[in-house]
Amino acid sequence: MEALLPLLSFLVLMLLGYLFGTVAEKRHYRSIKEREEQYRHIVILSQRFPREKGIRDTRLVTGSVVVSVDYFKRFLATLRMFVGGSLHSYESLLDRARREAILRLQAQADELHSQKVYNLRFETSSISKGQGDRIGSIEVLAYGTALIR
Amino acid sequence: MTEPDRDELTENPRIPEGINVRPHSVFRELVLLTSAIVVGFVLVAILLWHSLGFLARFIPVQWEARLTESVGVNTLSRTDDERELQSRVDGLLMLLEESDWPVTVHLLETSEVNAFATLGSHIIVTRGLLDALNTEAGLDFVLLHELAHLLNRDPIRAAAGQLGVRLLTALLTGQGDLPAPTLWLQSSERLLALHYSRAQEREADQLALNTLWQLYDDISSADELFVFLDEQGDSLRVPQIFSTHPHSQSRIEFIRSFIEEKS
Repeated sequence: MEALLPLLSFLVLMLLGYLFGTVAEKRHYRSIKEREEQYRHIVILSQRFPREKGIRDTRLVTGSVVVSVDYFKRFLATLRMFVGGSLHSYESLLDRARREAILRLQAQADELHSQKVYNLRFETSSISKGQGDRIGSIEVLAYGTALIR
Repeated sequence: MTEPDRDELTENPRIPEGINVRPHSVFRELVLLTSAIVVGFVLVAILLWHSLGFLARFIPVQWEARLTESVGVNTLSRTDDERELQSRVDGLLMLLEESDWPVTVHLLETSEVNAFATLGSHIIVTRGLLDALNTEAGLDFVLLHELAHLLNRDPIRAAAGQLGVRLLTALLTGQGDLPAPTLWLQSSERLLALHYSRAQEREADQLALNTLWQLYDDISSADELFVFLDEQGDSLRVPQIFSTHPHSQSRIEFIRSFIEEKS
């Protein structure tokens, strides 16, 4: 029975990770899609130099997100590391993080009554470095220049 | 190079779904990865276990003895009981035509009922075991069983096999990120070791019975220890798959079917 305890706790953690992770992901995607529609009028461009006239001011806008994976996905990724291949379990996580960062940047631009953000750039960094080769939590930062008319 | 003019854009384009994140079944991925890794690990572990176990047979007995020298087993101040056990074992070795094998018997003063053979050709018998056995054939069966382990080089084979599989586990889990896969691989490694251990026990029982048959006219009390252990309820404690030895009940049946076959 003692030998089964670690296995049991592992199964419970996997189940909890899967359930909470799936619910959180579905809910997050729903919210992302809604807000993307809401901020669709705020145009994001990677172009560096605007050629628009009548610009009163420019302002740096940022959107930053810190995310961590659930136990289930981390376990899948660990298994994947043995054999190689695409880390599907992290793809949705990073996709959500990037889109959420843009949305936060758009929300900031919206507060400034800006409708265009130029020179969009991304920075992604792991904040769990120094703990072996874990990819526990990451930060995605999106930044750009909002034009204020 | 000029950048395209997008100043007239009034809306962000919709992000197409299903390109960056493709829909896939995580359960399918989990099952496939798990089975591939476990099957691969078990195959390599079996190969390592067998090849190292095979090679370990060629390690000279004197070298093996040197490995355990540092443990510092006291062979100078021996009790009368120990000397008696030693002469019994020496007699059995002569019967097995292995009289030059340097086996040393030690008596452990504990009430636990146990006997085991270990690296360096040492056999350890507990006081509890001596008290539990009333017949000579019963005691000789146990001693012959442990001698069979030594003659088959089971301790050094198991040590070599385990070392190889441990190294493999360490290599694989060294790059892992969670304790769970480590736990898994260690459990399968342990199950593998137990499986081979049970096979070796059976082999040792067989050799012990064959020799005992030459020594005694009546070997019906060969199963004395297992009857005692069975009465203590050892078969109920853990399932056989998690145990180093076959259950007492199954060993009693094995001994009795041997006797039946011979008579």
